[in-house]
Amino acid sequence: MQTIVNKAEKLKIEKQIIDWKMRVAALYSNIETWLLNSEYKLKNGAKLTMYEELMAQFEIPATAIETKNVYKEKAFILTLKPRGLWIIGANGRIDVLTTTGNYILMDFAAQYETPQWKLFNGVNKNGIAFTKPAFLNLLK
Amino acid sequence: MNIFDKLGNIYTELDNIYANKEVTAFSKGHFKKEADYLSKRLYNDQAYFLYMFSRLEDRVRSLSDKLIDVKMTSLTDWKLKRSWDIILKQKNNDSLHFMNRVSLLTEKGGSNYNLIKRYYNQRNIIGHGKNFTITISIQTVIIDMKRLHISLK
Repeated sequence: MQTIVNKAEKLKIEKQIIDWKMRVAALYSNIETWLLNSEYKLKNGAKLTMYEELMAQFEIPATAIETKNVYKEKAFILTLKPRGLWIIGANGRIDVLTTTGNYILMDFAAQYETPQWKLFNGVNKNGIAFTKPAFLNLLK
Repeated sequence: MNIFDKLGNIYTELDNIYANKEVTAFSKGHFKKEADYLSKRLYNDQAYFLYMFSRLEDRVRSLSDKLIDVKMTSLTDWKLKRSWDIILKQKNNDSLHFMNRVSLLTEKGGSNYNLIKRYYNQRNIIGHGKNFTITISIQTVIIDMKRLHISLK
């Protein structure tokens, strides 16, 4: 019985990892669209290793997750680094590090719902919706 | 300004300094340094999380102590008072478990209880020398702590 429960739980965790990667990819895709016809380009960064506690617990091997960098011509502007999927109070976190400040993106949607990304920094304690203007503002 | 916002401001100041160094190292291709600064940020997360959680612990302790004292002085019917008598003894000899104190203030198994339990587990993991087993974002911790501080009764 325990084995069946564990198997079901493991499948659930694996499904969440796939969903996380899809949400991250969809976010990158949105950003790429926002940057169309601008002087900025979104490029692949070094992949990060994703290996969180639940993965270890259910013997799910580490997996790679994409990072992205934004450049203005050859000048580096910001990097997007997925930091963790299982977070208390949110459904995933991506660090947004820019040359002028650091921000955190968190998805506040329920599991498998349409993502609701919010952007945080020290000023916006409750976060703001991560929209095209909010993103473009980070590039200034 | 409440204590969580004050701590949050100091945390943000420090996190910004390290994040700035992290991104500078990255942009120069100094990847080891980049990883070192990320690691410093994680330690900073842990330190501030523990500090904030300790404020919540104080709140839970003082509210539950007050509730127990009020029950012991206001209840006269032994049938109602007997369980509080046991709780009072545990309180006095410091054996009343933190999560039992929480269950005096919010419904056991309810969303607030479960949230505190998750944070409490993380606090114990760090307290025993390990790192976070899950990512904690101080921004959400501040929001949660402020809300819990008010809603626990």
